[in-house]
Amino acid sequence: MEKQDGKYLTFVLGNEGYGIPILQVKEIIGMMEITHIPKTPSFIKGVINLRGKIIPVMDLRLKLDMETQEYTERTCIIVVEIIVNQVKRFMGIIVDMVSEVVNIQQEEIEEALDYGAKVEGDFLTGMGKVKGKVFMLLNINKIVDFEEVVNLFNSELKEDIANV
Amino acid sequence: MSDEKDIDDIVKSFLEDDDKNRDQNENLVDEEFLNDFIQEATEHIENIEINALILEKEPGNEEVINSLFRSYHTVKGLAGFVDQDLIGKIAHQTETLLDGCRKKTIKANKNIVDIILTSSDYIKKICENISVAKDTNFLKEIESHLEVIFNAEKGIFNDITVELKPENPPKLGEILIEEKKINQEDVDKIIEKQKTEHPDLKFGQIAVKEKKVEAKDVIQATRIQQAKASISEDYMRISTDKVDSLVDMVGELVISQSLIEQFAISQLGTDNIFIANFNRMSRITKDLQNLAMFLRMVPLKSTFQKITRIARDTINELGKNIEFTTSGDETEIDRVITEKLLDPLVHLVKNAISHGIESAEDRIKAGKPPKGVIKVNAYNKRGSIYIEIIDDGGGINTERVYQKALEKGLIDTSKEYSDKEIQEFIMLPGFSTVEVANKISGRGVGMDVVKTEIQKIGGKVELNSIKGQGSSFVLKIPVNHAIMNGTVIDIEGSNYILPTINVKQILQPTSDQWIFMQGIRSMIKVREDIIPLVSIKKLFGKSREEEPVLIVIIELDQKYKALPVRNVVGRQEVVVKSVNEQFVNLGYVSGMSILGDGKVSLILDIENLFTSEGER
Repeated sequence: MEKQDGKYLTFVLGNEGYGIPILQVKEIIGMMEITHIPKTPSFIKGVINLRGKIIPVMDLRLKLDMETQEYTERTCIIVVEIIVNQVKRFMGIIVDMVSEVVNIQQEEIEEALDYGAKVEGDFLTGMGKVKGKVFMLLNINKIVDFEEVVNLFNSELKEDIANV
Repeated sequence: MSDEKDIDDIVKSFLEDDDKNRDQNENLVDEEFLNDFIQEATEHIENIEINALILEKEPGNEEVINSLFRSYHTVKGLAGFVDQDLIGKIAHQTETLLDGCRKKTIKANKNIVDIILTSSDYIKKICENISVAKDTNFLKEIESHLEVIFNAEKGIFNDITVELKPENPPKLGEILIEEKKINQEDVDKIIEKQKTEHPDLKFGQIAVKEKKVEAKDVIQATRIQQAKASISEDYMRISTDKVDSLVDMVGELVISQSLIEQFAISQLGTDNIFIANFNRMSRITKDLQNLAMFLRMVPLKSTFQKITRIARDTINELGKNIEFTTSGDETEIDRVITEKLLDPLVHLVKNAISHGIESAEDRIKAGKPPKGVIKVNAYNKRGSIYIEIIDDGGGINTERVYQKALEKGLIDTSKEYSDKEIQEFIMLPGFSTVEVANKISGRGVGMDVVKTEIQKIGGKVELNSIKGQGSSFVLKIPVNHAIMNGTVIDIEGSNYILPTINVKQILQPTSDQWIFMQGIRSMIKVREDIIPLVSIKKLFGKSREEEPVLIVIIELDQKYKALPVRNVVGRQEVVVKSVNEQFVNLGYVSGMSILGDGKVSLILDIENLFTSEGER
């Protein structure tokens, strides 16, 4: 993944700062009631109704193997837009708190691997340093790609049953 | 006539200018022009095909002839701009022929229709691949086609001329008979009465007066009549995105409105001016919602036109004597579904033409009229669209199919198979054999593909074949993405939706109704029937089973299953939305919907409850 400079929306998970390209953010909404979908991986929280559109929602903490936390009034759903096979898709991402929009220059972005980051390598496009703060820049397309996840989950489930 | 001359002059002067100052920049512009030309020409070709098919049915229709003439004329003009001389030539010659039809010096018949279609085919071929215009073989073909047109102008045909009969819109009485609302005898009586007693009244009025039919049936029949009589309607192109957004937003409007209504009733009660006015608004919103849903529905007309065209070509190619008819092309269906429907339909129709209908000699031997009949009928029944493909051919040769299935190891030799069961074998994957595959219908696509394609859009294929009498394939397709009557149920604290049409009964089970197997509550006895219980644990991958409070008996094809629920919340019209693609592999969900409280609920897939559930 190429390092991308430009405007990033930054947000917080615990005490870690993250950023995603602002161009991929459709909107930010407060926490709302989510319809659970059985037989999906735990990081998929379910679906929400965004003004008549049904959009899947994932918990980023769970996706990144972090501990869960109770949702508060600062918990937000960032609705991101990705393009899969030339078709626009939307996905809600639950984060602890949205911070600000920052402008990150090319020279302020460093390769993620140098820091031995906790987040799996291909989820990151790099590390951005702005005003003394460090943000992990997420590769949204990789994060929300769970096309195969449902299948994966089903086969895991079968194994579980077989093991019992 | 004068404006046509003008265009010719303009074209000529353009070509001359073009020769004078050609440079590289212009070549680039040319390419752009060429793409525009191809796009525009393709649209005209589409128009030509549709009109040619109408002309075949209504040879006297001057409007259609004029429209065909104009289309070819425009294509000719456009071809001149982009230096496509070959297209220009074909279009010019065909245009001259049509001019003859216009002036009534040439009579439109089947041969003329053939020529019109062949011309459009050649133009289409060139548009698809410009370089084909340099192929010598292709040029020869064109040359001979131009000669055919030239001869046709003089009234010389290679084939025997087939006169075409005009087709009038059906009479109201005929429609009513077709709809089984009235019988022929009554129709005759009414016509008699119209002549003698009520010359001032219309057929429908007398029919209602004589209490032969109900007024609503007459209204329905006049609608059908109008739909059949109108040749073309005006359309405008709207992107599906816009329509989808409109449907979504209207759906939200309905939800917001019901939230306001609930609050207002709780605060003010029902007997006041606010609620009265509010109810009036609700009705408008409801109409608006129906209209919005309706926008996405298109008649099957264009699908049927495409099929008719393909069928016609296939029949000609195979030299068979077959009458191909369609009915019910006014039946409306979601646009997305029509797209997915085309390939399976084409396959079935081609199959019927190439394998269904026997040769004329065989038909005569079997005591049938030499001309075979293939009908494609569409109609709307109980919330589903039915499309039948019926032929009066030889039917499926069950012995042959049995033999083939035996070779493929699909047969359990110890078991007796009914004819119907044997016929079903052709729907199995990999059954498409030499017997089924040939140039026309083969191409590696078997009946199993038809079946899976139809299943993908939530439909079913039913096959009925009687040896010696013919076969019928019935496609049952849901009017999906539309409004469905749903029963909202509560399973372990979450709301789910069942199609009400599949809900047979709701009951509160008593302890003596349960049947346990190996310590697991697995069936319920309802009167004399023993009905298997759906395991929520297996269905939703839960760790334990909950004590059922209520049981919903669901029905599919006369089979029953008992679904344990906590509560039945209610029954309402729901707007079915497709499942997000990330979740399509979850078999138990067939759709989603936004309920009155604004929350998303999952629509359970009934078929899945009967098939895969319990196997895992």
